[in-house]
Amino acid sequence: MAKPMIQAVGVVKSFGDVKALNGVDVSVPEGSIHGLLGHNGAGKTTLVHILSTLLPPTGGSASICGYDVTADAEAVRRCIGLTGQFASVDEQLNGRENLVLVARLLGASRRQAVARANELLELFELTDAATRPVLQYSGGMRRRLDIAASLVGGPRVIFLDEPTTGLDPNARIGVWETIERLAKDGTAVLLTTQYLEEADRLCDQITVLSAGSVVAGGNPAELKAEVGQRLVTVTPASESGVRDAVDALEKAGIRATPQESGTALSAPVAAASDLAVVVRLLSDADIEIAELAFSEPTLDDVYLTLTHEPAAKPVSA
Amino acid sequence: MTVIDAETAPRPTSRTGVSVSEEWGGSSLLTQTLALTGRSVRPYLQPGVLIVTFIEPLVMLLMFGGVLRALGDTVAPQGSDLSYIAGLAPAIMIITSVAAGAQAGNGLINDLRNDVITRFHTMPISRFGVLLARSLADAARSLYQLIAVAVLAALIFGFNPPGGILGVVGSILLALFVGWSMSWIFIALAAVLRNGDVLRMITTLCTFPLLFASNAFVDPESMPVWLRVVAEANPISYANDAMRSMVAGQIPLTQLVTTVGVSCVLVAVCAPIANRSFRVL
Repeated sequence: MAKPMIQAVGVVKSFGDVKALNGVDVSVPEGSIHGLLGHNGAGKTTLVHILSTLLPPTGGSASICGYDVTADAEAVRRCIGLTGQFASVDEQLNGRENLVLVARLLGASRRQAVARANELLELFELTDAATRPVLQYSGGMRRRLDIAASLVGGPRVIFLDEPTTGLDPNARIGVWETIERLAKDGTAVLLTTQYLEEADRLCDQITVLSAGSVVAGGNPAELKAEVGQRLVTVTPASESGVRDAVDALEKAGIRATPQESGTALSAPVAAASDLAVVVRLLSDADIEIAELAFSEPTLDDVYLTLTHEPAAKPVSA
Repeated sequence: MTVIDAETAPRPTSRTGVSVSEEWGGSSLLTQTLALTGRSVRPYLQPGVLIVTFIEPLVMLLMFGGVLRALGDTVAPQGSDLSYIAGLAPAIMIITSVAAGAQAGNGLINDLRNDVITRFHTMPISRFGVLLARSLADAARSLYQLIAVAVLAALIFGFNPPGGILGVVGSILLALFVGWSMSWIFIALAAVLRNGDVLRMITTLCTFPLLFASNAFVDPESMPVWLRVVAEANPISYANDAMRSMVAGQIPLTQLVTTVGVSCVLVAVCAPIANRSFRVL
């Protein structure tokens, strides 16, 4: 198995008496997208700062592309790109100048730098705005330039901070597609996000942080399964059908609850396949169904449940 | 054209095994400093800023040339055949240069608040280059102002000293170097304090006495003893003497060596402090 591109083992960070990180483990292989979820102050930003060599850890260790963040910081910096609140662009320069500056600092000749800048400008649809000062860019354009700037050196590891916050739906989808393509090409992506929909769509693995500790980890489906219930909501064709439906399901051992409206009932089920069971039970009982709804727990449910749980339940040892 | 391939996708890494930046191979401190200085200088090149930057020395010349003159010819230029302005212009130059140098501290504070610097700190480039670029950008601004002083002094006060162009150029260069070396004090302060308000207070507290406890405006002979001691030790006094000599057509070797020497020591002390304290978090 290839060694992970991002690896944090028991990372501890204290600021005086305050423990911002309390033994955090994260492992991200190449070509995958890892999400960090947590409230403000949970430690996501501190963790990224440590992984990007901006802060030294107080305890534990971390490595990027196999290089230790403390002992081999220079080598780490050759592999990474940062965006958003972690690193930004110069508002006084225009779009192209920003990208050319980064390229030149990485060693590109003037010609290589301009070529690379143009390539990225086109990818992020900023070619027309390339000669305008960044100060004049819209929020979405600024965000795209940020991401472009992080990609100038073709880094193997990228830290994205809330990459689509404030973007309109089209722009969000565009950014998501870019991120997915990056991962497909082998880049390891670590992103922080408040949009659970985004984490759900993009992330192969998610780590949920609360008060400096990992409270849950896994892929989106695992997290949802761990916490949420799937809910089947049945609206029978007639109101009397509610009572009958409840009885029919109870007989089969499925606990059904009529809803307050009196026109529907809901029943928690363990797996998606149970939906077919419910339908069959109701049809066997000759109950006509007007509407059938099946809801999966959202990451909202995951998030709220996990981060409000007492701190005595961290995942790490 | 071997580096960039025709695909529009951003160049990833593990497909070819080598990232784009590894092909480029990194840059030298010189390239980094030049590129970063260009970036730092940019805000100073806006037309509005250029005009204000030009007016500052003009105002100083008029004020000191007019107002202080009224207090009597207390400026003692070297040699009695020098006009008042020949003694004043070097003083204004050194003040301009030191003030411009002090600006570097504020510039660094602004940079620290600007996330661009955060990006630079996560790149494989020298952190010192960022500081060096800061000092050079403000030195460039200083040079612009020094030339303005010379030109305005000539136009308004008929500044035409025995030292001629060479003397004036020599003066400018010395003022530039001294101002640049002093900027490291403020860069170090900014890196250590990381607080714009505190820095501004300290800058004002420092620069005012520094400029007036010198021989720039008043002959130290007429100062109270405690002040004269400071004035005679003040590097600005050395620089001022050297500049006045050059403007008068002399080449004051000892004074030049002392001034340059003291300035170098200043940089040697402050730059490492600045470098060590320079963090974004």
